[in-house]
Parts: sequence; C-alpha cells; structure tokens
Amino acid sequence: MSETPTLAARRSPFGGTRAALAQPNAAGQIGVRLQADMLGSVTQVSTWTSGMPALVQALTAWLGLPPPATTGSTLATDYGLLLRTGPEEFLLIAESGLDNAALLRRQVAGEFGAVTDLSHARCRIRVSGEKTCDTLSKLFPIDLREPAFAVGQARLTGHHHVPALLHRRARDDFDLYVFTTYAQDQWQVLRDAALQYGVSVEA
Amino acid sequence: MIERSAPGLADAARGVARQRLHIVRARAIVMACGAIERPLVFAGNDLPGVMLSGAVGTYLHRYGVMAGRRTVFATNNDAAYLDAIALARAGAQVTLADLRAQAPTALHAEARNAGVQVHAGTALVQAQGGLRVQRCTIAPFDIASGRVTGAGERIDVDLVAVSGGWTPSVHLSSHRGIKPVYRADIAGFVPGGFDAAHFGAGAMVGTQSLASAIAGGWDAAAQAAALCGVSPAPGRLPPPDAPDASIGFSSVGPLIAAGLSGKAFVDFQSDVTVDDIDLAHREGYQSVEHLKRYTTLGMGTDQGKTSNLNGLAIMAARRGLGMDAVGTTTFRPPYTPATIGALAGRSVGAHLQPVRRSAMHDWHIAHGGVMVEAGLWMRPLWYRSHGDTLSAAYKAEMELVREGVGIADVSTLGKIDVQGPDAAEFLNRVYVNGYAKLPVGKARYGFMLREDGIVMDDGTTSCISENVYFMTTTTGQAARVMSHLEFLLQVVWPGLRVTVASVSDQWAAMSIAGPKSREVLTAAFPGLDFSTGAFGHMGVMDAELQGALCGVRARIIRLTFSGELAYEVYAPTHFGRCVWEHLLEQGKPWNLRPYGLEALGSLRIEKGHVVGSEMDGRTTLDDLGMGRMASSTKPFWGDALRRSAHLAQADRPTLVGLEAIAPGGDPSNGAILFFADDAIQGHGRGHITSTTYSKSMGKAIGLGLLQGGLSRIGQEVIAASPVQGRQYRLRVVDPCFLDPEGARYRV
Repeated sequence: MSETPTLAARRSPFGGTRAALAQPNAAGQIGVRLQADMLGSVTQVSTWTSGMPALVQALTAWLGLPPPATTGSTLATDYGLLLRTGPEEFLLIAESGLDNAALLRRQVAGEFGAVTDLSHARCRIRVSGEKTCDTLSKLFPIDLREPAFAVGQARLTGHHHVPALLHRRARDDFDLYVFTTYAQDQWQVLRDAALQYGVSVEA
Repeated sequence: MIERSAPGLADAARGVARQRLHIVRARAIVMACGAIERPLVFAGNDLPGVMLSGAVGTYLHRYGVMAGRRTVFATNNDAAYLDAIALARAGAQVTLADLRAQAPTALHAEARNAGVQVHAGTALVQAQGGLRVQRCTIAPFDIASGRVTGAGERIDVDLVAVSGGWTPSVHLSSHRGIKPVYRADIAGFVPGGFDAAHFGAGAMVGTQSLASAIAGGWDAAAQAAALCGVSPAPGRLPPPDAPDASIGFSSVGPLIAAGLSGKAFVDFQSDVTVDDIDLAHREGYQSVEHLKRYTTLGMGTDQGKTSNLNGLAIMAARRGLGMDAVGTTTFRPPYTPATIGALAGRSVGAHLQPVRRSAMHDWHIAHGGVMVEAGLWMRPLWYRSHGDTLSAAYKAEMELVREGVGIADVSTLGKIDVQGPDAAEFLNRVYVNGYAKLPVGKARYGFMLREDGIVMDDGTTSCISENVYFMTTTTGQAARVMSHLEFLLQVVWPGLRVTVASVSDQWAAMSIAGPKSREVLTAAFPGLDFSTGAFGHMGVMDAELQGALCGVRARIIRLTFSGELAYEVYAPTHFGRCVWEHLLEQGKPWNLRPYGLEALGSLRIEKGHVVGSEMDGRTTLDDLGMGRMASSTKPFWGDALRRSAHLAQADRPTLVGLEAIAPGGDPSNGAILFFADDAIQGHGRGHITSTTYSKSMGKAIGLGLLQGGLSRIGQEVIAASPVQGRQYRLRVVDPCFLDPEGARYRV
C-alpha cells in the first residue's frame, strides 16, 4: 500500500468557512460540534446483478472478511471504512491518501465490476454533540432514532435534492459525506441549522 | 401555533427567532378565540383621538394612561359603560351616547354615580378636528329605523371612544372549512359547527357575558377532557367577582346624518369608506367576494377583523337583504401576520436553494469575475479585468480566444463514468450515432434523445480504456442524463453489464481555447506531446503531470466548443485551482487570460453550436440540422418515435443563422419570426433562440428556428418582439458563421 506522492497543494472546498470558532446559543450552550475535512481516498466499487457473486468473492479475498451483506451496513477494514451503499454498490473511505482505487482495480476485474475513484468528489462533515440528532432532523427526512438507524449504520439521504451519505459513529456522532461542489453550501446549511443549539467549529 | 419573541430579544446571529412555529397534535381542542370590538361608522371617524372603547380601557388599566380628559363614548352595547365609568373615576369628563332606546338600568345608575352623562337613544354622528379630534356631534337616533331623528348637539372633546359591538372570531373554525352562520340576536357570525374533537366556548360562539362565557368554557373543557380520557373535577367555577356587562347588541350600520360632512370609514387599513361601498353597489358588485375585491374591504393586514361586518351590513342594507343572505367572505390562515421565517425558516440568503461552487469559484471572485447563477452553479459571466461593462468585456474575451488563447472554467459540465463489458453497446443504444467502435484514446460528440424522439442532450464521450468511458453532458442536463442512464440500466436493459457513476464532483474542468492553446499546454505540461500527429482532434489522454504538478493525474481531451483549437483539461477537484493557476502562470507569454460564460456562449453562436436555448425540449435532431448524425444501421433510444408523423412534418421550424440588415435591427432573444409578406400576428414562422454581437463578423447575429430552415438562406424575414415593441428585418444565413470547414481547430 503506497500513498500517491504529490507536490501540488490540495485546496479545501470548505474554504475559510471551517476556521475554528464557537457560537453558543442564547443560553450559552454548545449543542453541536462540527468539523470539515477533505478525505484521503474514496472509492466506489459497483457491479450489475450478474456480477455480484464474483465481486463479493473478490472483496472477501482481498479484505479477509465478507463485505457488508445489506445496504446501509458498514465494515471497518485495513483499507478504510467499507459501506454498502446499494444492492450492488460499495464505498471504501480512507483517512489516508492510500490509492485504494488502484489497489481495487487489481482485485476487481472489469468482467464483473467497476472501480471509480471519488476521492475528490466527496468531503466529510463530522457532526457531534448532544443536539446532533435535533440538528440533522431539521434537514434529512429519515428516522434518526437508534432502533431505525443504529450505530455503525449508514444511510443515503439528502435535503433540497442534494444527496448526502450519513454514517452513525455513535449515538450523537455522525459523519456526513457530501458532494464536493456542494460542500461549502452544506457546511453553511448545517451550521445554520445548529445555531439554535449553539455550535462550535473544530479546525 | 406561532410563538413570538418579546420585542428586542430576537437575534438571528444567536439563533433566537422573531417567531417560531410549533405544530401541536392534540387529541381534543377547545377554541375560545373571543370577539373583536368593532368601530362605529360616522363622519370623521378616522381622526386621531377616535379610538375603540376597549383600547381606552386597556390604556387606563394596563398602562395607567388616561387617553383623554373630555371624552364622548358612543356605543350600542354594555361593554363601553365599564370603560366610561373607569375613565370618569380616573378624573375625566365623560359623556356616553347609547344607540339603544333604553340604557341598562344597573350600569346606567353606576355610570351616573361615577359622573358619566348618559344619553340613551343617541348616536354619535360626526367627529371634527384637525391634527386630532376637537369636537363631536351627537343626535337623537331611532335604532329601529336606523335614522337620526333630531338636531345634533356639539360637544368639545379630546377623545372619542366607540364600541360598535363585538365580532366573534370565527377564523379558526373557518380554516377547517366550516362556514360561519349569522345570528341575528347578536348581529354577528358564529361558527357553523365544529369538527369532531373540536369545541368552542365564550364570545366566539356568541356568548355575551363573562359569567356565561366561564360556564360555557367549563362545559367545553369537560367534554374535551372526557374525550382524552380525563375525568373533569366535579362542580363548576364560581361566578366572577367583578361587574359583568353583556356585549350583546342589535344594531349594525353607518350613522350618517344629513348635512354633516366628513368621510365615514369602514375599513381603516384599506381606506374604504361608506361611499366606496355605495359605489360598488351601484356598479353591480353584489357578492361579498366581489365587493371585497372591488373595494379592497377587508384586505388589509387585519383581514377585515374590524371592518367586515360593518361593510357587509351596509351592503345588505343597500340590497335590501338580511345579513344572513349576504353572507361573509372566506377566512384563510394565518389568523395574524406570520413571518415567512416562521413558516419556512429565517432569511439565510442563498440557502433558499443549494449553491454549487467549482474549485475555481473563489479565484473568479478574487479576479473580478462577475458571477451569475447557472442552475445551482455560480459561474463567471465576465471579468472586470476585460472591461467596465459586460458588453465591452465579453467582446474582449471573445477576441482573446479568436486571436490568442483564453481559459474558461467548465467544471459545471456533467461527467459520468460508464464502465462494464457492455458499456460500448450501452452507449451505442443511448446515443443516436455509433459508439461501438470508438477506439481507446478517442472522444466522440453525440446526441441522445428522449423516448418521444425529442433531443434530450448533447455531449462527448471518451473511451479511456477497454470498457471504461468518460461521458460529459451539458451543465443543465447533467442530473437528468444521469437519471436517464440509471433508468435505462435498471428498467429497460437490466441485462447489460454496465455501471454508471456521476464523477461531476471528482473533476474540475477548464477549457483552454485559441490558436495559442497548444503552446500554452506544451509549456504547462512538459513531457506531453500535443502535436496533431500525437494528439489529434478528439484525442483523449490521461496523464501523470510533472514538475510543480507532480502527482496530479489529469485527463485532457482535444475538442472545441468555440471553433478554435482547444483542449479541455480535467484535474481532480481538490487540485483544480492549483492546475488553473499553473496554466495561467505558464500561459503568460501568450497572454492567457480567463473568459466568462457570455463569451463562451457568443463564441459558440458564431459556430452555430446548439445549447439549451435550441435543445429546448421541443426540438428534434432534424430541427437542429443534426439528422445526418443519426445512425441508420443500429437502433437507439428515441429512434422509433422521432420518425412519427408530427415530428416529421415538413413545416417544422429548423435551425438557421440570422444576421442584422440595418442599424438598430439587432436580433433579440425570443423575437417571433415572420416571412416578409406575413401579417405580423400569431405564433409566426419560428423564433430567435440565441443572439450576440460577432466581432468576427462585425455585426449582430443570432440563431433561430424557422419554417423552411436552410432553404430560406438569403431571404429576409421580419422579427417581431412584442415585449420590446419593435419589428426589424433579418437575413437568413447558414448557422455556422465562422470557419465552416473547421480549419481553425484542425491545425
């Protein structure tokens, strides 16, 4: 596993909006903490109906574990977090700059699957704090209660017709994966939604 | 329910809203909305110092303010007596005119004891004054006939307090679709019933005294509690330990005495007078809904709460009908003005809809880019560095591309990754032209159709490697094309071994266009060969960049939108700005500078390239002059219906070029086209779709859709713009104004 060397500077799509700050609410409380990040690597692995058995076999051989069996399930792997985002679709998200797309192309033959590098297409907004669910509920039309959305699960959803992928890390701790070109907008919307509860931004 | 913050507490920056919406889902609801005091209608009733009796009482009791020292109260009910008595006891000189022939005995006696002069059977018929009320006239009044019966008496005053009765607030029940019904005994409308689990109490349902309101409220609450499974406490509340006054009354209508001047207002918010309602009646507006719309009665911010019944009473009297026959207008929510913020969220500017930013967004703004909305995107329309006005700047930017080299941010193009063993077959079915044999390292321009045969979109698809393709779409149709492809794979051809993924966010894209573009790319990307022999028109390369951009994997396609030698450079989005700035730096020897959307659009008009203005959801391939691109040797989506009779009619407008003939005759978008001998009326023979000033041609030009299309080249047509109110002549020409052979981009 090698990281891609580069001399060029990556520029965050969040711009200056992610500078650290604290905005308590009228009661002086901070109910939500936000953190915005670019991601090391994001790789989509997908196939078609007839390709699924071979793809699962290839992923199992590579990971040493079978990939998540149902849409919305996730698996922590040596290469990053593997999320099943559809019946025939997975997303591998890594903090580091591992070239997972290149690694996966060696495992997933074009005859039974496709590997798409989305490392620059997604960014992450980490949302935590006791008012996280209240804030996210303002935006996303999904049931955030734990019986319906357990810790470790992921949901593809969206608001204002903008897609987003939510991953629940803990009861009040979510990772929100957003499209890069919408990142700044989504960040502002989320900050605005959290303002009522008091919000801090962590650099 | 709307919760209002106390004045001064709202603070948007701290998340404290001015109003907040609460949605409460209750098992049972008791409506006790009360009643609203009405003004009386008489000459001069809008003078400052003429107030509702209840307002005088509120000033006195709540704020300790005596609204006047010489006061006349005018009323048709008991409630004003309490205010008059209180004001007299506070030290004011008070006269009370009661329309009713008999004043209520107990209240009359109490009023006399407080020093109030009570005149029964008396109306207030005029108020006079300048900046505020100074005197008023009261006169004998017959409540049965509604007429003044004797000479008036003038009284010097500094306050006139009126109470014309009480209007039950039936809005909430009306919002449920229940029509109010008129009750003559209280001269007011009350709810015509309630929904299941809804109850009413108090003045809203016509109750006329405090004691009966409390008793009615108790009963309604007991029923609601029982419905919720709660047993009400036994017994009843004791009667109030306070003077009680009925708000019952039996008179509504204007108090107009002959010979007294002054406007008698019915609706103080919309300035509707008795005369206005009389005029509406004379004009034949008999329905209350028509009266409302003709006079604006009840259309102010109070929505007629204080004016409607008086207005309806006047209307009923003029028509010789009862109030029940005239009816009332429909009450709609909200009951009181609600901020849009409470209903939809506070004002947060562009959050109304998402804003999409390219990787170079901030650069454009920092370098004088004048941004414009393009769908959800913000794009630079032009750059101030090229001129003070749009008109000057875009022409300079066009010149840059035609004569030197320019760079444009085209990240907004839709980009789709198509992979799979059947990807070529899939593309072959989606596009009208052939893709089955597109070689690796080559791009092809194509059209795709909707199922009904209408053009959906155009764009290029490149073959990156075996079974891997890179599709671009127009900015406007990106989401639709992606959705279309997914639909086809999931529903129409589920057996095809193909996946599609949107990579629009993965790649920042920039177009380097102009005769000097090859030199710029050669300097910017050393080690890559951009000669025509190595990298011809429609060539595609994925390249590992070197030097300052070491580690950046870019995709470069040689294709043109402007008609000049041009390249599209795709860089991973987070490196987008870095590559953009690198190109600008390396392109300095050739004066590489950015150009905006206006120049981009104008350059393509010169070449006759179509965009959304022409692919407007109504045009076919043949309409756009692209019918020859459609393959006759393979089936493709939309092919069957594009051959249907109505799409094959010979008189369908088709794409032409248009050029101005005379000064002042510049084509304008949307103008309707007519043949020279046509009458200028109706839908004409087509319309103008795109226009610009062509520096290359030295004149204003345009594209349009015209019956007869290219067969009319050389003819004159008349363009009529009803919006601009002008007509002018244009000459029909070929839609490709510049370099039809393509020599400029094939170098």
